[in-house]
Amino acid sequence: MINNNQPVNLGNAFPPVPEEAEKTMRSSLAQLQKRRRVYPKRKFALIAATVLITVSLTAIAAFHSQVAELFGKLFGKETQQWIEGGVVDPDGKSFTLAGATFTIDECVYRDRGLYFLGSVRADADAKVVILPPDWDKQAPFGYDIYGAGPEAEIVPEGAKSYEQVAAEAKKELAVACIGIDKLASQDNVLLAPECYGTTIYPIKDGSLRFALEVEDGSLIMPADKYQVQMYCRVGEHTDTWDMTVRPTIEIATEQLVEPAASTQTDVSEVKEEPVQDKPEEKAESVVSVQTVPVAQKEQARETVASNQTEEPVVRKEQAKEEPKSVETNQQQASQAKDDKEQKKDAPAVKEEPTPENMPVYRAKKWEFIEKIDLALFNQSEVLKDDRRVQRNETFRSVSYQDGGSLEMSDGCIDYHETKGEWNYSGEDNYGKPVDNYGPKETVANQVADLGDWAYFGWPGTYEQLPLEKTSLTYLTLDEAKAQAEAMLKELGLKDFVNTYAIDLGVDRIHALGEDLKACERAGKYSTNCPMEYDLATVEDEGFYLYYEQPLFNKTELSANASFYVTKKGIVKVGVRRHYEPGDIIETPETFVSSESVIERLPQDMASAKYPDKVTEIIDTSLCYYPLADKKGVKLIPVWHIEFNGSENNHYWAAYDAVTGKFVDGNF
Amino acid sequence: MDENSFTSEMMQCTQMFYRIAFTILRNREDCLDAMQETAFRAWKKLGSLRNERYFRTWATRILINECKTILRKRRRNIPLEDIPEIATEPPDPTLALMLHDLPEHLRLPLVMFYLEGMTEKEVAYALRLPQTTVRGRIARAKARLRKELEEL
Repeated sequence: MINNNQPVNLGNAFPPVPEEAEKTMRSSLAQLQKRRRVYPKRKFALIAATVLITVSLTAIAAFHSQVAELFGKLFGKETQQWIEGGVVDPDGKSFTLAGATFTIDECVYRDRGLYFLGSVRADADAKVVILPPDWDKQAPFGYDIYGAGPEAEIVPEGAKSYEQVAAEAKKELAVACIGIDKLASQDNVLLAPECYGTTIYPIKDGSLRFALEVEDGSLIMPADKYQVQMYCRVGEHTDTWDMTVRPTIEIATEQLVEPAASTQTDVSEVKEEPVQDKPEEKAESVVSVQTVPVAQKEQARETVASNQTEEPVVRKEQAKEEPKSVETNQQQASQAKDDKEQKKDAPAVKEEPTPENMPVYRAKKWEFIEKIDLALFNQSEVLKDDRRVQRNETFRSVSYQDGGSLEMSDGCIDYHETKGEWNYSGEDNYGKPVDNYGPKETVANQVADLGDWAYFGWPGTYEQLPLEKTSLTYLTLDEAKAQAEAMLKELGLKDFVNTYAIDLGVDRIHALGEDLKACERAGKYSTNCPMEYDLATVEDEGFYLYYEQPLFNKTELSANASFYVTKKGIVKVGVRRHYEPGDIIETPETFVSSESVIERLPQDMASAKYPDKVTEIIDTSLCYYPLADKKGVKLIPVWHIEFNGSENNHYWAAYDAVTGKFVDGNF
Repeated sequence: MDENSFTSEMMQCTQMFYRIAFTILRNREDCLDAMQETAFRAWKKLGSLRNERYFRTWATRILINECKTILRKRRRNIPLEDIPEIATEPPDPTLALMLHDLPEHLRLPLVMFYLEGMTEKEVAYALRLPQTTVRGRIARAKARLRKELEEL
């Protein structure tokens, strides 16, 4: 791992995991019933503010960047140098919330990433003393003793604690934090980035310093400006570092703060709302950032690339194949039959994707939760049908009279069946057995789990188990597929292709069940769910089937479905699909060749934030990638390249198949 | 996600949780405390898990927060040198020493990536860092360890 000549097993740096670890976990989980899940009634002071930050044409080299300096201290010189190659907006913008002023001091854009530096300061006349989230009130005031920032500070004798400072000033302690909720390039639609990083720590004058970094090729692209919706919170400090309710404050998103230095939001713009008791921590604010096309960056890429002459190895013979049917011929036949129907609705699976059959689509959210036919999964009486909305996402939970359970959320469906109760017993901290009863999955549903393991990799070997038979006592593979595909059709998922199937006959169930139990005994598998595989009969025999949407399964769009089909019918379902193709935006005339993007890959890799070499191309395929624009999200055809770098680092990159431009990658 | 699935998922994470907690806390009792609290908090916060696909990284994030909370309390109450050392020696004490000499922001991604088999993306989710930052930290951690090993 560390040294190519001398592999190092990091596991040897750790003592064996003690038995108590598992006991602790079991006893804790056994007590969950006593600790009913509740949605915390937190009440935050919330703000939703729009601040426009303009990234000027200033090349950062000619400007001392505080962002680069801080990130350099936090993450090393190379990070500092990399950020210094970006473009900067040095103008400060600020807004106030509950007695605290949030200021964005500086923002830098470079290559799919935005980097912010700012501060939070309690106003002189405010009734609060602020401290970072998760900070303790006994911590010394203004000292970064935990090293949340560049380095941990040594506290002098007699330093006052936050609690003391607040008491002396007759003020309240308040926790302040800031994060990124959504962002957009130019005037595109605001969307949530995959993830972002936050660093926040106190400084001597009692204010807080923060740094934010966010990278996402789907959303952050070269543009004149960026809008970043941030959430800022100022909440009451408690011993458990929770925050309690305060009035919600919002600044309407259209009320942009002018992009001038030290602009401060007028308090009159702040709209106070009634105290909210909503369970979710809704807290939104918007920041906008402007930037410029980064010509210098392109030049840099070329320069670095010219120094890298090694050609990557193209591993043609080992290239991953596009997902294909378990029985290709059969699939092709049925696919051909369906193609005509599919043409208008969705991109059909083609042997050779071409510009003609891979147009640019408007992405539509898969809206199924309210439209779904509950009888599709189970025909018994519906006992319960609950809905809740959290962070703009809808959840629906349906219970059927015979023990069936259907859970739905945006883009996700899960159906399973239960019968009777199972004692998920454990032990308390003193080793005393604790009862914990819950609905027990039917034997057939337990068997379906074997299918999951068989597909994703069997415990211990991590290998996929093969299909051995196409006919069981009461069911053939074709019959099982017909049922699964009928359900896919009912759900409007016409372009899913069967990519895996395993037969689970009663003998195989018993054998795999025994093996799984052996894995558990050997510590390779752990569960406190029932493993009654020995009770399985021919009634529980079935086929586990896995389906994918080939043009959508390489990227974040990943769409798939799994089924366990028995003599009785489909007894377990799992579906994941977030977007579906909507209207055609345009049909490209031609695609660039895959060779042309592979040729460019080493250049882009060499000029990445953490450069590496391209040593081996593993797979090249055409597929769709979600890209934000003014109207929402569009699905563009991309060349998706999987490849290895040095030390077997595994990477992917997506290039616009029409323009050949780099879109995104994990480097 | 129902209670059964939650329980099953958490049990499968037990060994990984312990090692990640140990990476931060280096103390068995604290690791067990962190795991216990993680189980309760994760259950309580299950509604905030937006996609079950990310259960492992989501729960790891909660665990890391719990570890940091314990660390903070420990720093407040007990001098670090007074923390009892590991009762059971690791198989390679020298490697353990080198690993724990790394700063936490390098050590944690390294362990999560190489020992726990998380992808860079999962580490990024769990640590709330951009993926490229995670890659950089892993690379730097490797370079530091490699240097130490070469000097042996």
